Amino acid sequence: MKILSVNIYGYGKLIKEEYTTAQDFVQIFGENEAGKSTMMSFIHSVLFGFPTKKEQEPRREPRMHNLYGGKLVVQFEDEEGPVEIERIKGKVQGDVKIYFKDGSTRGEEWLHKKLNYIDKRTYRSIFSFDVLGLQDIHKNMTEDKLQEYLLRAGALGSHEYDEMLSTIDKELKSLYKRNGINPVINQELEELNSLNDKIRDLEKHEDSYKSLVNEQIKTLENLNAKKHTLNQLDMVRKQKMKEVMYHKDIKDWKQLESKLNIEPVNFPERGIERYESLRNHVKQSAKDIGLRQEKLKSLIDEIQHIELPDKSVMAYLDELQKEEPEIKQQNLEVVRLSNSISNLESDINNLQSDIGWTEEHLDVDDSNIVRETVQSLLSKYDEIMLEEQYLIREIDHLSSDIKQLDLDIKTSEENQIDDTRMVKKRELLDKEFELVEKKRMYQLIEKDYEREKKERDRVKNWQAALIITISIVAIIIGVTFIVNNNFLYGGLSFAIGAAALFILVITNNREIDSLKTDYQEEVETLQNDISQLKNDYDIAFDIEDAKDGRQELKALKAKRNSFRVKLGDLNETLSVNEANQDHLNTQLLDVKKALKVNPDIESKYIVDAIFTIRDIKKKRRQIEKEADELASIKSNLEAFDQRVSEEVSNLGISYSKNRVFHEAGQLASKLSSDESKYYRLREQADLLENEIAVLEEKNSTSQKELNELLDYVDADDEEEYYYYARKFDEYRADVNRFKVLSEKLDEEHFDYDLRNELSSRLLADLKEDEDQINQQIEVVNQEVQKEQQTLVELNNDIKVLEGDGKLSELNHLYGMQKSVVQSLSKEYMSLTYIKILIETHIKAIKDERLPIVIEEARETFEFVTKGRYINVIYNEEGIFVKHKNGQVFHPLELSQSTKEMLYISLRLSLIRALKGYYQLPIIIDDAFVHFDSERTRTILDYFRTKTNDQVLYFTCNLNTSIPSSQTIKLKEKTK
Amino acid sequence: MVKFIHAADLHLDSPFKSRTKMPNSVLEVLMESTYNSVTRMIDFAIRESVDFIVLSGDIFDQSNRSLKSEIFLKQAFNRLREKNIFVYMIHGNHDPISSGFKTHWPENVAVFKENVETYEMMSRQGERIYLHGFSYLMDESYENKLDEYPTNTDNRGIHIGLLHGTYAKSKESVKRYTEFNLEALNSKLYHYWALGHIHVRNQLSDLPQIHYAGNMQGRHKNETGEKGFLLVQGDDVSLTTDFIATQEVIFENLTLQTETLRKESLYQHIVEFKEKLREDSKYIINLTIDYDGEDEISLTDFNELIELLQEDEVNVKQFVWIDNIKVSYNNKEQIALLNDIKKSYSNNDDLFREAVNTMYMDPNINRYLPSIGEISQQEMLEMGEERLKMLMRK
Repeated sequence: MKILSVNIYGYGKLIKEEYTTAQDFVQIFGENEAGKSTMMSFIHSVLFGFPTKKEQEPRREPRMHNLYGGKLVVQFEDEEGPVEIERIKGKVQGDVKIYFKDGSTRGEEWLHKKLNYIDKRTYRSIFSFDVLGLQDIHKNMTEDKLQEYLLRAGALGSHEYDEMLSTIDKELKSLYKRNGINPVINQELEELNSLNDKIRDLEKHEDSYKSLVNEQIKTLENLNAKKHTLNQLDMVRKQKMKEVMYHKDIKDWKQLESKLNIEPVNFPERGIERYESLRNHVKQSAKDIGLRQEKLKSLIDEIQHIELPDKSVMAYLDELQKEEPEIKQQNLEVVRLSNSISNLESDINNLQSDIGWTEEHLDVDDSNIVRETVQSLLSKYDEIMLEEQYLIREIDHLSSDIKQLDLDIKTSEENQIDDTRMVKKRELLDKEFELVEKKRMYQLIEKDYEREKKERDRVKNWQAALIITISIVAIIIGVTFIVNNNFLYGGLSFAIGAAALFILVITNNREIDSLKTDYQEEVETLQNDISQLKNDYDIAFDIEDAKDGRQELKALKAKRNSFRVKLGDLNETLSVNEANQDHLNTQLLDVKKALKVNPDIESKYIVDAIFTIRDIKKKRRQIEKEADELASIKSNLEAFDQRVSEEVSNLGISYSKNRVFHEAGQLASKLSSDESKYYRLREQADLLENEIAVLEEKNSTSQKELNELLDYVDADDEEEYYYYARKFDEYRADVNRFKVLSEKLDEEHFDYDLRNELSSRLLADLKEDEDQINQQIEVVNQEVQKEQQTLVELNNDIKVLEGDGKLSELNHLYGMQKSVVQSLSKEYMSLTYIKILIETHIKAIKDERLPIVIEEARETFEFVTKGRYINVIYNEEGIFVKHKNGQVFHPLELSQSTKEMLYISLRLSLIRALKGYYQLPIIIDDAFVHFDSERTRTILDYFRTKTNDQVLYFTCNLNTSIPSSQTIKLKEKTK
Repeated sequence: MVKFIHAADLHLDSPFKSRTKMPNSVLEVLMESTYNSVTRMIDFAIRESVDFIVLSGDIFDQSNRSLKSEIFLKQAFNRLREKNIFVYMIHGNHDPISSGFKTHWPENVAVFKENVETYEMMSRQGERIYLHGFSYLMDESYENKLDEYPTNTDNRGIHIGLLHGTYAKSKESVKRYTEFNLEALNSKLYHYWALGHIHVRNQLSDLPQIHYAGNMQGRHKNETGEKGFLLVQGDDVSLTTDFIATQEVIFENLTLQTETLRKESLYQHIVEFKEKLREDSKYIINLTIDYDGEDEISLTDFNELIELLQEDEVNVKQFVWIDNIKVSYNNKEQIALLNDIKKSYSNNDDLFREAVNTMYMDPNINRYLPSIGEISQQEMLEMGEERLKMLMRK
């Protein structure tokens, strides 16, 4: 495993630091307080967890910072890419997370496995070389200690094993000794054994249960047999007692049997009763017949007094009564019809006066044709009237409009402006427009001119200045020449200067202002013209308004002409309309005449009058019909009166129109009651006659039966008959008694033979038998009681056994005890197992691993001592080294640094030996302070070249021989 | 509709196993518990007027074949007889026929002999029921008699198979008597298989219904939770089962979270925990204390704690007996040295044998130990390590 970089989020004083350590050998240099130990601790913490309370190490949680922990980037030999191990604050040891290159993550368990389950302490004791460790050796470098150190390193803590082994031994001894008494298991075993013994005893006891149960069954069988015998005896005894009890009955039975052994007596069934009832019957019948004959006689008398009425008379009276409602109805009809006729007459009169008729004109045509004609005439008339009204209204409108137009035209004509003024106005307007244009042009020219002038002035000034300068220079030169007496040149120069000045004056005099003045004049002329025009004519008006006024006048005049034409048309139409109206009025008057109605009637009521005429005609027809009907009814009634008065007089009823029906009714009811009375009496008489005949017949039958009864027993008279009856009763009683006795004895199982036999025996003999049986029963009873006693005892024994839960309880105790022993034994065995494992392990280390370690150590030691020591020997007495000169030394005889060399060699060889298990970085914490520079270089060379594992060398003395690429310098943070 | 009870492994009067000695009050309850569970079943059968009861072996327990248990069962069967409830019973490896019986059963009880037999009966509703089964003649009868069970060839009636045996796929550590697989049972075309031998209630199949009823009262820490029988109802088309609990005492392995290992607070914490449990039932508990912290409890404190907790339960009727406590440290402290050793030598069988033989070769003690095959190397290793850790904490 190789640590590629160290990234600290916060650990002790180191906050947010990152170091790259991607080298096989890394020197980490820092002065005191720079954080070397912190960094070392950090690496340990990330790999194995933050320090817990138990470890004698500070947790180094940052005081001023929240983040605790950090990450290492690590390359494992058997993993493809580098892996990040991050541990941050969480549970006590911190939460670790491993991030792979492919983005997947793992947890503590994985890391644990990857580091082959090595823990922090072991890691330190193998892979860390620190000053303290070496110092300890310096102080206590005894043989034992050295060996112990070596062994601890080699055997992964044999010291702890010793402690474990002694603890286990102690515990084992307290648990069990083979022949001990006090250890726990021994005691439990003792108890268990005693329980076992008890259980054996009880089991034997319980085994007796089966024999007890068998015995119980046998006894039960005996008992049942005895009980059976007892029952048998009891039955015999009961039989005997019965025989004694029924002995008398049996004797009786025997007697009756012989007595009844004769011919039986015959007598009719219920003979006496039948005889007596028949006799009574005969007597009663004779009496009944007498009574009935008497009654019949009186009935016949009564019948002779009643007369049977004539059937035809009754039928006639019925018919007459049936006619009554019809006659009454006809009378009512007569009254109703006469009323109706008079009502209709008065209606007609009323209607006639409505339409102004003095008499009825039934021949007037009132058909629908006439009515429709009138209606069409009326509607035409209405139309014409409406049109006329419309026309008159229109004419009024038009004439008033025309009047208004006349007024408007007049006003408009007054407002018109004459033509001369209009012409002048136009002229003025043209001139004003021209003036405006000219003014604008003038302004533009003026502006242009000013600009040009300015430019010109500027140029002119420049020219002037130049000329002046030239002239001055020329004059000065001239003066100079003159002063120098060179007058020719002086004069020439003067002349030039003067000429220049002259030119200047000439050019400055010219001015150009003529254009400007021309325009100005033109404008002024125009303005004068305009004011002239304004003064000469009154033209202060708007020319557009004047144009509109003329237009309007023209329009008004046209409108007035069209209205006038329209008015003429309307007046013509109106006169045509009035002619039509007159024509219609004449037609309507003709209609009224034809209808013979009052001509003053308003035309619109003519239709109503037609309907009234129809009504009158209808009513007249009704009256005629009803008058016919009335006449026929009256004749009917008279015919009826005639007929009935003749017929009734024959029956003795005086005819009167109103009472005839009442009297006929009374006569009819009297006749019918007579008739019904006659028939009722006749019926009663017939009934009585029949009854008498029946009674007589019955009587004769009864008499016959009486005689038959007497003949049955061959008796001559009543007395003899009664004798036979008594004889028969006696016989029957005997038979019954015999039957009862037979049944009784049958029920008690006395069969015929037994009865005969018993009837021949004496009662005393029987009683003697009974006594004997009783004695036998007594004997058997005693035996049964004895058996029962035995059974009760057996049952008790069984019950005791069944109810005894002792064995079960002991078994439970035994089971429980056994499980306790078992669990203790398991404990014992498990500890023994661990003990054996540890012992085996230690032995294995001594036998197998140590020689390899020693051999590795030898090579290393030879190398680091540059061949001065050639061997490291491990034997029974301990460890020794061999010098190249052949001498063997005990470590105590070596120099301090050589001892340390030996120690380091042994450790390195250990790391080699454990390579198969662990491949972790070696951490050296300034362990070489006691070495001289030669030795330091040697050992560092060794670490740099001969070790396969990554080496992190923490030091406070910077070794310059190590390239800076392999060096990290820690700076102290003073802030 | 037929209605019957399927129960198995009554283990009447079976002794209980615990690590510690129990006070008499607890012991008495335990001693009666197997009986009480059976009484509950009989009461239920009478109350529900079932047609019959099927008992699939191990009615009694070899380690306590007392007269008491037989007499008790006889009385129970007599109660059933009065209500016309039949009992069909096979014997298992713990109560083989050869072990003999001291008493006789009433006539409503049918016991299958060592060869496969078929009983036929009529339910109250008039269905024909065929029951097939056999009893173990000897304790160690590994022979497979499944082939001798008749196959249901016609469609009339309901066929029930009684079998005391081991499901081939079962992971329970039991003696694997009469191993079978589901195909073998299915091929018989029965409607219901009433299985016994494995003490964990388990339904092996839906169609046909194949059930282990489990035992009726747990007897040690590996027989946890509610125990009882199955009530089976239905017809030849479908049968349903309902579990009815009968146990007197529940064995349970429970875990308790704690934040402190101080003796007094921990004691209080456990007492509160016990009171909550006490409301439900009587309990015997293997307690695991789950602790996430840095402290450790010393051996003396630990022993004292157990002692205190157990003393509290003496003469308590509704007891919650803490049989054992295991402290599980979340902050898993490893004895690194042991890890190394374990890795190197735990596969070495000779070392394990050597350790075990210290006891098994000792005539004083070996007769009380379970068969050597039941001791697992892994268990020994874990136990020893645990024990050692505890000792080292002294």
